[in-house]
Amino acid sequence: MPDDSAIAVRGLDVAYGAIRAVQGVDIDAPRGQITALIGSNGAGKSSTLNAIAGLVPIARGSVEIGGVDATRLPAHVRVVERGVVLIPEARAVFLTMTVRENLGLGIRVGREREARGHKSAFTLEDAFRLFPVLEERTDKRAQYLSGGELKMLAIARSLLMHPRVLLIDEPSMGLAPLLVRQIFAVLRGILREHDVSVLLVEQDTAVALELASSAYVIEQGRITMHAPASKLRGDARLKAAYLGADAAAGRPAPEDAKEPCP
Amino acid sequence: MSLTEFLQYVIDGLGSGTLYVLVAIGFTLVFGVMGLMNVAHADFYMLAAFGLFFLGGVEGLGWGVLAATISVLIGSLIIGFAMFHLILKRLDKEIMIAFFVATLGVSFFLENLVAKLADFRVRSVPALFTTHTYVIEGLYITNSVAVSLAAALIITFGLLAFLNYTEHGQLLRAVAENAMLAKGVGIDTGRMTLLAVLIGSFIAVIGGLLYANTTSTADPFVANTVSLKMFAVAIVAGIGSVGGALVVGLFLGIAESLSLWVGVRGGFDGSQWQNVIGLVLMVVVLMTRPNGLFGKFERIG
Ligand SMILES: Nc1ncnc2c1ncn2[C@@H]1O[C@H](COP(=O)(O)OP(=O)(O)O)[C@@H](O)[C@H]1O
Ligand SMILES: [Mg+2]
Repeated sequence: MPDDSAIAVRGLDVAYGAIRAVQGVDIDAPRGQITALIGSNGAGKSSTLNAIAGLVPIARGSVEIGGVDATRLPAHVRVVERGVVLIPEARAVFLTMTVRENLGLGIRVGREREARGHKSAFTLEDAFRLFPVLEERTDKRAQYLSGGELKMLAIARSLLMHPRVLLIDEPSMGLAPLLVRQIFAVLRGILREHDVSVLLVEQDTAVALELASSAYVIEQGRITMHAPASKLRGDARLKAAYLGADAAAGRPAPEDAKEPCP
Repeated sequence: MSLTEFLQYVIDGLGSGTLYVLVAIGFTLVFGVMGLMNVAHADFYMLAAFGLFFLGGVEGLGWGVLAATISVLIGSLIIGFAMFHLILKRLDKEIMIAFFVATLGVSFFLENLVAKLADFRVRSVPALFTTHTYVIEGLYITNSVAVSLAAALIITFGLLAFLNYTEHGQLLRAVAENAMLAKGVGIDTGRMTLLAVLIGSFIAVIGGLLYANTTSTADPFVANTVSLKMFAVAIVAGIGSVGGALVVGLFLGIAESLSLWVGVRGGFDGSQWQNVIGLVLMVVVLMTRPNGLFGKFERIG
């Protein structure tokens, strides 16, 4: 039923030279839902999202968007014609440009998508209502924004692009817990209002499972688990795996995460 | 020592400096947008001069200077287009050396092809306009220096305005800063690279036409010296810095000219030092400010 599928990944391989980052990954992200992709550092989460967005080459396998094959489409066509919008984990904003210019790039895509018949109610006013700080800083260069403001700018720009599928890579990374909660509340509201499906990558397993209706676990480039989020929330094996991975990598627990930006 | 004499050398330096500016801004623009250098860029100077010779001159097709000039300007877009589609877009950007070698190959090919057609000789080209020399307060100023300076200023500030105040300019800046993110916000980065190449080619042949007019010659291997200045100016200014290329290009021209003046004063042949100045400047700047004087790598404008 193509109408119910936002993203369908089949047998995806991503390689960087000899490094096989993703191997034989299958993912189904149903329409109108949040699907989580969780896994530890270096598991292949970003590579998977980037391959779906067309930003890294697909070595093998296929990607369907809205039930139609997109494996060979260039990235900009996936954005403009299919409405697949990635919010990257890092370097998600043009730092040499002002807030206004960054938002303008989103509006430009929104206009092009509207010309192709993809209506969306999300406007610049909506963006400023959600994130008033962006309006205050509208003529500031993005390089002077804090980490949280950069995140808001990236989200606002992405929503202005009238997305049908959002690929969100680690939205909580580097942000204070309060800000994370605020941003997730905003995202949840948007998704309820508009017809947007989400594939969400998070290292913070608890946060991801709270939001998502189902989740995939990826380890060393392969999917090792797929279940409804409610089931995974209580999964002892998952908890053990992630507490272990976090401790091994020397990362602080999410509760201690500090805002690193000025 | 007289001030007039000193100023005369400065004015002469401005004349050559403007010609360095016009080759360097296109090179730095394309470098900024692609993240890679097109070594063959300086060959547009040679192509412009031989365009004038083969199309305009009596030894060639004899179309006259105006028709030849227009053909060269249009031809630069065609050659830029072909260079992009046949070479630049096909190369793997991850392998920098492949890009270097491939564009160097294009340069060798073009130079030797044209040299063969011109019987391996330096040819004289028809003048774009009649040269006048004005004497102002004892200074000799030719109209060709004035025209070159005006062209360099108009083109540099025009390009800066385009980059900063138009939508396509913003898209070029986006690709220069972060090509992956640019794709992610729906920008066709290949199209933007082509646009940068076309702009760069067009500006370069304007410089090449003025250079040919100033020297009255078409030399198949002029790019050997021009490319040296082009690298020096772009690197000292900082890759992607169009305004910086204007400042550094003019400075280099003046510094070279003053080396002649110092030679005359000191009783040695300053012309031997001319070509060294750019290289020394480049080495010193690279050692102290690797991103150039005006450059913040990953931005253009
Ligand atoms: N551009 C790249 N070049 C080479 N290796 C890469 C690149 N990007 C990621 N990798 C490698 O691919 C693997 C998966 O990385 P990534 O997809 O970023 O994981 P995650 O997002 O889950 O942390 C890692 O081993 C990483 O080192
Ligand atoms: Mg990642």
